[in-house]
Amino acid sequence: MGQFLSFPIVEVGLLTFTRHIVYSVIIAVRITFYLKTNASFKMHFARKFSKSTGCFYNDCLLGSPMNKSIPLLELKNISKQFPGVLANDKVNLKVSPGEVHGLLGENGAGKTTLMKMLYGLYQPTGGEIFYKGQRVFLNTPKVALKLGIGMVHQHFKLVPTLTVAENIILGMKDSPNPFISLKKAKQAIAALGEKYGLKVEPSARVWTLSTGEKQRVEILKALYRNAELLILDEPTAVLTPLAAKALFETLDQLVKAGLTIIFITHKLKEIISVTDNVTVLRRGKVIDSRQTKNTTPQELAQLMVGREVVFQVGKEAKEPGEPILQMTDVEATNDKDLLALRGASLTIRSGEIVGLAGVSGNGQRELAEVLTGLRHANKGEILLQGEKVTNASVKELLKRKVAHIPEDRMSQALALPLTIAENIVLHSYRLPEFNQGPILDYPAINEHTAQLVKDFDVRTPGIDVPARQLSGGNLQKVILARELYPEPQLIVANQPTRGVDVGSCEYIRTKLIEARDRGAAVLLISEDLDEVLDVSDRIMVIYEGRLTQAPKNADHQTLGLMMAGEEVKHGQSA
Amino acid sequence: MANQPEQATKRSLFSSLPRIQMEKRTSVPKTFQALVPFASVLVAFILGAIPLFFYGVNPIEAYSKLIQGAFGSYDGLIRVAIKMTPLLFTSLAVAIPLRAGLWNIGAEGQLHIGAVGATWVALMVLNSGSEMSSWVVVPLMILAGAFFAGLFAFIPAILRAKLNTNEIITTLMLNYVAFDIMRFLVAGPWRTSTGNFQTENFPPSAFFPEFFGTQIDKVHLGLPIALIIVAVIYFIYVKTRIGYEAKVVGANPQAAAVGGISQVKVIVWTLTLGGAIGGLAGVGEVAAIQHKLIDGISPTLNPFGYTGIAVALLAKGHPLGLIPATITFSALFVGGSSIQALPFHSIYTGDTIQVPVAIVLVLEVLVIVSIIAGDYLSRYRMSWRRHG
Repeated sequence: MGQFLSFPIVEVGLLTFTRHIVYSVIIAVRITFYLKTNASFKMHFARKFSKSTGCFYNDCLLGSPMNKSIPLLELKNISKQFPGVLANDKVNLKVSPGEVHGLLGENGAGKTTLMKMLYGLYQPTGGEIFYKGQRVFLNTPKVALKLGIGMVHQHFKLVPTLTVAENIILGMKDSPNPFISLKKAKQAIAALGEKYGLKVEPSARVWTLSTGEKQRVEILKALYRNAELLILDEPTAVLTPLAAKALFETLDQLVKAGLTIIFITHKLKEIISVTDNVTVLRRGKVIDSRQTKNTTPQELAQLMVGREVVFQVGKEAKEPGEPILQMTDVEATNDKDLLALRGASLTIRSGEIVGLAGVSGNGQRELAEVLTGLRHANKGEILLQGEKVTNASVKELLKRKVAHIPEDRMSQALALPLTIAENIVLHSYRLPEFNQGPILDYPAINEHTAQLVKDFDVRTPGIDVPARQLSGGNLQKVILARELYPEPQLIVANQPTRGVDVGSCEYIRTKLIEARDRGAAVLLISEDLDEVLDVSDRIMVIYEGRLTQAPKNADHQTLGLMMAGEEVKHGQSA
Repeated sequence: MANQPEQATKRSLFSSLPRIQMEKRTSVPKTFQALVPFASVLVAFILGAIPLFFYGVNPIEAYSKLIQGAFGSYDGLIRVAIKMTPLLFTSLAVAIPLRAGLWNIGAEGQLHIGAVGATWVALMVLNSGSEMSSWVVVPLMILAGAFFAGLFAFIPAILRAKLNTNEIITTLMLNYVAFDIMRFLVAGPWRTSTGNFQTENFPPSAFFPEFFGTQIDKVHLGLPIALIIVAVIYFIYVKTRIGYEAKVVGANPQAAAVGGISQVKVIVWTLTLGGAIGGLAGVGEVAAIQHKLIDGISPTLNPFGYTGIAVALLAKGHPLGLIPATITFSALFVGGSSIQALPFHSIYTGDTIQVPVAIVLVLEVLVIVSIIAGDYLSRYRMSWRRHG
């Protein structure tokens, strides 16, 4: 064969190769596209829709005037299904132009998921979104921004090493000119800041800014992109009270300038002082939508924590014994280094369940972590059976039989890739019965696990399957089984029944009461008022890092008032 | 806004293609997980056929000669076993911390420090002129190599444990420190009188015992040591308390904290032990292969340390999986270098051509890429569906 013949073959080969590359690129693009949107059928529908109305996607909405009579934003039956979790269940929401709309709900109620769908970060698995009366498909944040929806995330999305101006113009392409004019941008930012009272130095590097200033940069970022609807996700969670006040003033000015704001929070006071209307979410569902002026904090507190199914867990009155836990004047900071516990004091006796009610974010998590050795207490003293255990290690507290049911079971309590057996001995693997020298006695561990799985009725295909295969309720039973062995002295249970099905819920409560009857001291931290009222022997309310004793005959209303920070005198039922 | 039909039709062009539907699995079947490494190697070979084909080499011919070169003869098998020894050590260096969720990218540097440690002992014996038995010298070399390499890995370990520095970066950067320490020694204090960048030859008492093999290549003490360590590490991870603790830290550090497991302890021991074992790779190379420390104890094209990362990935960090994984990679190297010398006929011109050495690198990279892709894809259930 000569050189001549070879060329066409090589060329044909190259052609085929190129074609294959082109195809694979197309396929790759499609894969990424579908991974991102996960809503192919909706795209399909969008195309047909656009043909019928004569405009493509959301383009016909751009620049259309705001009509006061129709809602700026309307969600109809929006649902979001994550694997195993229904985060939003047929949510309906109407936001009128020019209002501050509060979105109230506990942690995990689905507020953030809902807003992420509005900002194009998630795709709804059902339902429709209307913006200015037109159906829209928010596939990416870019689409949302184009329509005028801006979002300030709870955790700021800023590049610390860049300047304020650079952060604000990041990703924007407003002219075909490949060069950016930072000078112009800085002027525009300064003007915007002046207009709305958002004072930030445009050439300052972001890492040098305070949290409040960073938030202002985030708001400016949205305003610079001509946002008409601004979503603020728990904006005050990271702010000092003073910075929060400044934020509220800014919001006032923004509304006056014609912006619409969705304000996500679980702080009742903020809802009352800032919003015009409020929608309450609970377990992914809209519970109620009201005008703020026609409602009260305690009513909202009740709506938020709910009174759904009322269980009656059989419980006999019992005279508490010796104090097990004595905590006095404990102070601790949260992860943001803000003071979360401000002189919290608490005593729990043997054979007593103390229920801790409160709106989340008032220091519950920090309290549980200080008690179990996971967080450092800056001040105060903790005694366990009269012995000082302030800032003792987790290991030491486990040895002293302090059980901990953490708030977040997936991320804090379990190692999901490991087996049920490996998870069940996580707190007891040091005990002599599971060890032979340095070697773990796996037969003994397996036997122990099999017994507990049977005792606690954990529905599992086996004890050597990864924990992630189990449902939420069963996982919580695994945790409970683990914490109740060996017989604990003090149980710190933080939201033990959150996200758990009704049956497991009742079972977990019964088990806590049984532990009390055997003489354990139990701290039950719960956002579910019915649970607190039903299970506890004594109720404390936590508000802004301080604990107050609730009156003996406290009902929903009294507790609601106390959770909203109002003083209730003992014996008085409001 | 105006009618924009073009845009709409442009999009619908895509919709005529079948769509891939991906759905996350709640659990990945065990058989599936076990199949991923094998499938990855297979996929890598298939993809590797593309550059071979364009080069003009018949891929099937090339692969069969590659496999023959590695497994087809006694010589090949011995070479595979020899190449496998340092790879086992370095892949253990990666796999041990990997169980605790830590990435040791520094096996290459630890290998060099281990070699330096062993050389130090050997040169002391040489300079003292004493007639120590190799029963004393060889264990001393092993201990010194492991100790210095472990100490070297302790630096990123303690930084990670106490200051939460990223161990990927620190271990990687320390590699260059290790190279320079070694270069300084062979170019400076330890330089041989002949002038090359190498040390004097070791005294025979500092040679690793050799067992069997051909005239040139002999299987040495390193291989049984490596196999024993594999077994020990397997035992630690499957049976002991410290292995359990490392596993929990690797699976969920937060849960480990709630369980009172000291992360500092786990980070320090896994990384340090990994480093020490990585150092043994260097000890074996100087004590059994080179019999001196030279600049270039680890091949430049396929450095043992970096290849160890790929091996550990192929084994998915499982200690016993390291054995087939090292065999795969060392066969790839041995077979790869054997086919370089062989003449091939171009499928286009019929001319005699040679296979470039880079093809082995290409295959190695393709194996890694397909493992990562396979790992990811095995977590999804995929189906095609066609739209009208």
